[in-house]
Amino acid sequence: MSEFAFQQALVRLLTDTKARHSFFKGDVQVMAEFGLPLEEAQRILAIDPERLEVFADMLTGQRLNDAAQMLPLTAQLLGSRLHYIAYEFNQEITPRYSTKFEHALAFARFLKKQFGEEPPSPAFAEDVLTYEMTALELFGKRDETDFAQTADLKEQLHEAEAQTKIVPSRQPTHQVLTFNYDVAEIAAELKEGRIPTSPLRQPLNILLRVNAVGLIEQDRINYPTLAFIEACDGATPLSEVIEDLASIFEQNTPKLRADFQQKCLNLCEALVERGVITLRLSVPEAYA
Amino acid sequence: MLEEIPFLGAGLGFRRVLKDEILASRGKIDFLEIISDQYIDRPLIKEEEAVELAQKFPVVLHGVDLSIGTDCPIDDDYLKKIHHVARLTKPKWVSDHLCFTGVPGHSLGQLTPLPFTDNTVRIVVEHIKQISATFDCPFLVENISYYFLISPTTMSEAEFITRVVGESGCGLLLDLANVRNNAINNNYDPIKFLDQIPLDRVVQIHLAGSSFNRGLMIDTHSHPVDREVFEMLRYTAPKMPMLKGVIVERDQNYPPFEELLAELDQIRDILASDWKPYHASGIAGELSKQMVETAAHVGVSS
Repeated sequence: MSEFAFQQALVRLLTDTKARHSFFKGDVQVMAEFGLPLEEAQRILAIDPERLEVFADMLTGQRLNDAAQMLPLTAQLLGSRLHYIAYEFNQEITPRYSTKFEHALAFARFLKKQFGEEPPSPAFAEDVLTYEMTALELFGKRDETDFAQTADLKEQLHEAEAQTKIVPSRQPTHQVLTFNYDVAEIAAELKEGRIPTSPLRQPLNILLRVNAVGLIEQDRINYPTLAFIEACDGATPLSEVIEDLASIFEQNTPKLRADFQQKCLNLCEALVERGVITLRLSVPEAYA
Repeated sequence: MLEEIPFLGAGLGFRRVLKDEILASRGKIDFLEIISDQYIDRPLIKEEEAVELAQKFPVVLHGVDLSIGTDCPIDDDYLKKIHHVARLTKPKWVSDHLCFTGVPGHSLGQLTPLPFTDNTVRIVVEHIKQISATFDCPFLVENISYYFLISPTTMSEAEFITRVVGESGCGLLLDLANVRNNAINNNYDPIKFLDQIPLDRVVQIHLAGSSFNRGLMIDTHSHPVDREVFEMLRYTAPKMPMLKGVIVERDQNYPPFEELLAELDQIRDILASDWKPYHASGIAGELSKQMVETAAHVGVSS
């Protein structure tokens, strides 16, 4: 006799507070959703509900600890408030993840949504969360680099016709972010065990990447570089990327445009060499 | 395989926050238990830490997510990752828990009890045999603290453990704190329980401190090892001819490090007075030799 269906139901009940409470109140509709034979449903009902509740709370606590380990700086900033937010998370969202990593990411996204609805205190907590959440996302993509066509196409970057066919794309292992605060300085203080009292509020653009051994590295970049990398969306040909950016940066004379184009091409080449950007042919050209 | 493993002594569960103190206390900690999950899906720098620990101490690997009680095939991908950590650290043995921790696609991350039935024995034994065959070191299973019972139960926990160990051939990692917690939570005599399980299959012991929460004794690893648990070690020691090591687990609420070391000394005192092989093995001299052998084994000159 298979135990699997019972175990599936038990796992779900342990992580879905509303369903668990309804199930033990004998809510027939909820019980039917589980699709368990009567005998199996009775096995669940035979479990001491108070002890099951204690265990379910332990699960929530363990998940919170795991998430805090993966978002340590955010956890440090929020302190005991993290527990209340974790409680809300478990009430609103039925955690159903294969790994602790996925759970931590889901919790980070929930936190981000909460911060969007009600700005956190301290205000720079949102920047810290964004930093840690992005680092987690990048770590999950650490094996996703793609250089298939890039080396060949790099040689053609400065050819006008090629620029209409080459499509640049940011590597999944890289991400650009704009912060309102100096996150690097805040992170350094937090790692020393200190909560910054008045960190500098200034726009900060960062290129984050996960390297081959799974470590997160970062570089400060200027706004034009950030804008270029963001524009490399994997769908827009290089010529259009440059054209669009020229308008944004108000390069309104032919000379300015020509200079700007050259700078973009040089930047693109440098980013390709550093593995930030990958190049491919647009789809019709790929099949030509 | 077990016969070839020397007695390791008294050790600590490795916790990152204690790393500096642990490394500074090499002469006072006989071996380390590494949580294999801490080195899975982590940056390479964590793997380097695992290798460093294995170079400096005899190590054993302890996992939490094999979920040997789930009624479906073992997660091959996860097992491969454990193997990877084992290749890096060359542990004396590998262990996990007699429980389930989730179903495919939905991990609980918590040790969840199993019903004590013939069917569960069948599931668990099959998985243990499969897992054991993939390692070239022994695989042990650990008894858990359970806070609720799952029906039907057609046998006692003691009989369940006896059958699992007997039919799979694996060794037992006996957590005496969990025995004590279950006895309190389910109102039975822990000594009677210990008399009913195959102590001659115990390879490793876990000791830890627990705490009460909402009327239950919870396996929190947050307090010193209780006197009662030490007494259970004293009681079981003479009956464990295969014992290879005793680990103290502490996960939070850390005391001054000397207090953890004092618990290891207490273990040694108990074994010296109550465990015959302790003196026969010449353990003090043996430990120095083990550290040299361990270093050579992982390719480091001593």
